[in-house]
Amino acid sequence: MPEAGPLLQIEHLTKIFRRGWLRGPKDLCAVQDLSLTVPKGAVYGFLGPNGAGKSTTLRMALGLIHPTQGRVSIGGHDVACERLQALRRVGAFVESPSFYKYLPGRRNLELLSGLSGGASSEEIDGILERVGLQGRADDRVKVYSHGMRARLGLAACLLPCPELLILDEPTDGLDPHGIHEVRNLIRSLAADDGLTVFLSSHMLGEVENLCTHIAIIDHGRLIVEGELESLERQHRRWCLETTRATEAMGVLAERLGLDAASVPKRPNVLQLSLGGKPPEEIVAALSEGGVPIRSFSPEANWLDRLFLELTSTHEADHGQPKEVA
Amino acid sequence: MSTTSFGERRGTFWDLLRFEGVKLCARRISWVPFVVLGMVVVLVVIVFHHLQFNHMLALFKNAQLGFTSKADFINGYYLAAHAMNPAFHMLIPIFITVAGGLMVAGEAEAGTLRACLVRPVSRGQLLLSKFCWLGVYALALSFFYLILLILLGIANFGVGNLYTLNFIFHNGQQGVSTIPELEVPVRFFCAGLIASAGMMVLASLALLVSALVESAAMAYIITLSVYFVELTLYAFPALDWLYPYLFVTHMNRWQQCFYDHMKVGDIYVSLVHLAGYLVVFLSAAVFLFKERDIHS
Repeated sequence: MPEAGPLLQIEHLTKIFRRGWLRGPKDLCAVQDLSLTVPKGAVYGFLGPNGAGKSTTLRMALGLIHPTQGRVSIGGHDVACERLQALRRVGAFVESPSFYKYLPGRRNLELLSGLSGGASSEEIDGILERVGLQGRADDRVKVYSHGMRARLGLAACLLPCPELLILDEPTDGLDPHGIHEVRNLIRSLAADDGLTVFLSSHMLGEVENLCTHIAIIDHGRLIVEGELESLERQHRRWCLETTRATEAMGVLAERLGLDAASVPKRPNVLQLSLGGKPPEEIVAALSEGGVPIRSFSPEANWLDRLFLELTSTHEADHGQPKEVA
Repeated sequence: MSTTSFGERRGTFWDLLRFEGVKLCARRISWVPFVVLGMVVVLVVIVFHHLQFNHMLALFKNAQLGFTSKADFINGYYLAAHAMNPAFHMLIPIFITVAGGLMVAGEAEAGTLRACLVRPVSRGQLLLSKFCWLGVYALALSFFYLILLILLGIANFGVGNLYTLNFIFHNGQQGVSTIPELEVPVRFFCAGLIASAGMMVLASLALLVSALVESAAMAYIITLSVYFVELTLYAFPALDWLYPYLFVTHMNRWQQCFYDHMKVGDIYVSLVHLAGYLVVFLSAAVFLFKERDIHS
């Protein structure tokens, strides 16, 4: 479980891109008053639709972009004022990992790790082995496949000894095998090495699999943030299959105060939120009420549904709030 | 909030110098200008072998020098002095502009700039380390060309006094300068140093432009445009009041090394101007690079 205390803290972060008179009269607000807390030891999934401001936030967290307002601190160091101290134990890539294509993979790692204080050849060999590139380390990066570059990107992030990994869509463009390997690697880095991981992703299944915490942003604003377990308890629905659906709805409402809804085209299936109640309590209440239960199971892809609901609701509420007069 | 005790690891200026040096040397395109300059030198030697230089003979006769054939004035030094102009006006500036463009804007385009900047390195030091190597590169290109010219020139045409027509070097006076054979190497060394200083100013301009744009092509175009606009202005005698303010005026001061009586004062003034331009361009580059957002 994550330890207490934030490793990465984002407070009231705002970024307005000034377009200038040549590019139109309106400025673009990419991130608005965003606050996030990434606890030490967490695997934090940062979600949002395309153009939501994820990459801009990551860039501000890494000091690549200067915020218009707000503050980012890593390990207690303000990125704006103490960038070097803040980035000393951070391994990161934004958009996609980039390398000097005319140099071999190993040489790229040597050079890039040199900018963070250097890594021994044993450390580099160990990391190359860990990401499965030891056999191709001396080939030039220009002959690497997309998947190999992604692995090399992870290897570069791991040198030398980060405490925080900031990864922008780390499995983007990988084949299923590569995705599986990268996910396992991230899981092991968090569980075995105690690294804190802050990753942005479009793949909600991946986030559900890997993350202990999530945040969803849309149009540059935070919509939801929290521990995945707690959000799951709060938002995950359960499906009840019974031959007496109407009776079941009555029992749930009377005994537990829960609203169940029938699923379109499936008259025997009800969907309900547990409202923090344990499933055993629901099953017991239904049994006592004489409702036969064929199955009672948690909703699959709940995070996808939540994401779609929250982001589409937000869009309906705010339309296109990105342009600032 | 409590401060997590992160280690002291960070990239020092020496790490950055090593980093930039390795990249510059490993990139094949860095070596192309040396090959091109080598080919130009060979071409110049071939041309000097085949041309009869009748027009020069006529000009020297007008100057009462009594030369009867090209062998009387053509030698390695003559070849080198006359072949410096086109390379230091066109070829070497273009190569330096390209190298400067690739160093920042090219890396921004390729995404490798952000790969460096997500690490604990100072943006200012990163840019200065790039400038150090660009300066070394400018110096290497200038002296490589000059030394190769002199060596191949001497190997093919021998040594002797250096005769130059003054108007070629734009000092506004007609006539011939004669520099004694023993003095010529020193003159070339001074010319090389002043020309290199000019190239370093161009390098700092290239770096400034490169730090402001996100496309290498845009960086080349803007830098070369500024340079060629200045060269064009410099070509109009009516605009001579503008000359002291143009950096190309001072970049071309190396030509005075081939006058009979070198105006050392003018050369010092130009060197001070070049140093000023370099400091202004480089300071602006560092300041703007620190302030800019990296979007690539």
